[in-house]
Amino acid sequence: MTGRLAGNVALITGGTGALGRTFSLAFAREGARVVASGRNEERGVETARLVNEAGGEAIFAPHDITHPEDWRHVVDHTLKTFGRLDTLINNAGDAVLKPITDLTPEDLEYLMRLNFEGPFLGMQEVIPRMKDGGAIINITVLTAMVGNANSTAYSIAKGGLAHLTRAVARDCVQQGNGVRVNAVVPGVLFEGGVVSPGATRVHGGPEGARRFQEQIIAKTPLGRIGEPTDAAAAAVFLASDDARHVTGMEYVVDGGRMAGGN
Amino acid sequence: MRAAIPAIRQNGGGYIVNIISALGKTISTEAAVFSALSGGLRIATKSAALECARQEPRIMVNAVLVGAVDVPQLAAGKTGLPDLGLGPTIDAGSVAAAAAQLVCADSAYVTGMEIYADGGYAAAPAR
Repeated sequence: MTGRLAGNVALITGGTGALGRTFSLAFAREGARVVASGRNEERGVETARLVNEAGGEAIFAPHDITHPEDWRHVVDHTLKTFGRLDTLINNAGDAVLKPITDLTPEDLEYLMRLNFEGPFLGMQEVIPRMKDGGAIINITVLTAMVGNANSTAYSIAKGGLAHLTRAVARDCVQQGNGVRVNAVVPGVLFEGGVVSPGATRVHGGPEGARRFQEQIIAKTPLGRIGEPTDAAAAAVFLASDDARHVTGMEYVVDGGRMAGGN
Repeated sequence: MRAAIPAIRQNGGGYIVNIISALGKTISTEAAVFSALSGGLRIATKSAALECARQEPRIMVNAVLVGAVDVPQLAAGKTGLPDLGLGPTIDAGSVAAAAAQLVCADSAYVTGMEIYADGGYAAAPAR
């Protein structure tokens, strides 16, 4: 344990999913105590168990990020359990990928609530309760920075979150509250560099996932799909004292795809 | 970069990090040429990143964009520079920490990217 985050308490939404679990393990390895939150209790408890088994300290908190009262309860629970809150990772989110002409109003509302409104409510709740300053890390996506086919509603929701990151960073500078606000922008990241079967829902079955994998590798200057741990390394840096002057930026972890575009 | 890239390749690949002023992203008065050159270095960084990503052994090329770094010359008013209004000063150790982040395995999937160690300066409009 190198302890870059010793003493840090981190709330990680979507701690039930693969990326949230990777963040939880990476943060605990660096000495942070972790609250992994989410809707799926079984998977969240499993994340906490894996962290504790690896010698870290984590709990699961049930959490629907679209409800302000849930945020209140989760932050109360965090402060009661660990006594402080230093880092929020707004990681929970979801994608619906279709051409604009096929998207329903319900798709748009769902994506906005989960990818934009949830993190918005979270920042509102945590900023006043980070007593010694802190770090907020919003997880966005490359299509929040550039246009992409089939991503209209998803990309405006995440693009809104990207811009919210910049704006809230300025808010916090002006208020002098010591809270830094940044984004991690992952490219396509899968464990072992292979698109997981779980991704087939958005990419149209196993054949779609295979084609997606080939396309991504061809488009990525570094010529491979990244690992979830690559994004976790960026988040650890942004949460740590090493990033004490870093706020309002987008930390892109994409194998070089955005190098020519931002 | 021109001198180092062949040597790094010979050694099996690695990392390059360029330290660039935040004025390469935003602007200030009395700094037109400095901003232009700093902005040029940002694009050179990204171009080198693309070239070095496509050729094995790979080299990741990134940048740290910095605000006014708190060095003794600055405190003593001896930099010879006008006041560029770069906001509160940044301690040099944090610039080193950002550079260190970009030259280790933590950045194996990061190239053509910039860490802004500038207290949010470049994220705000010029003033």
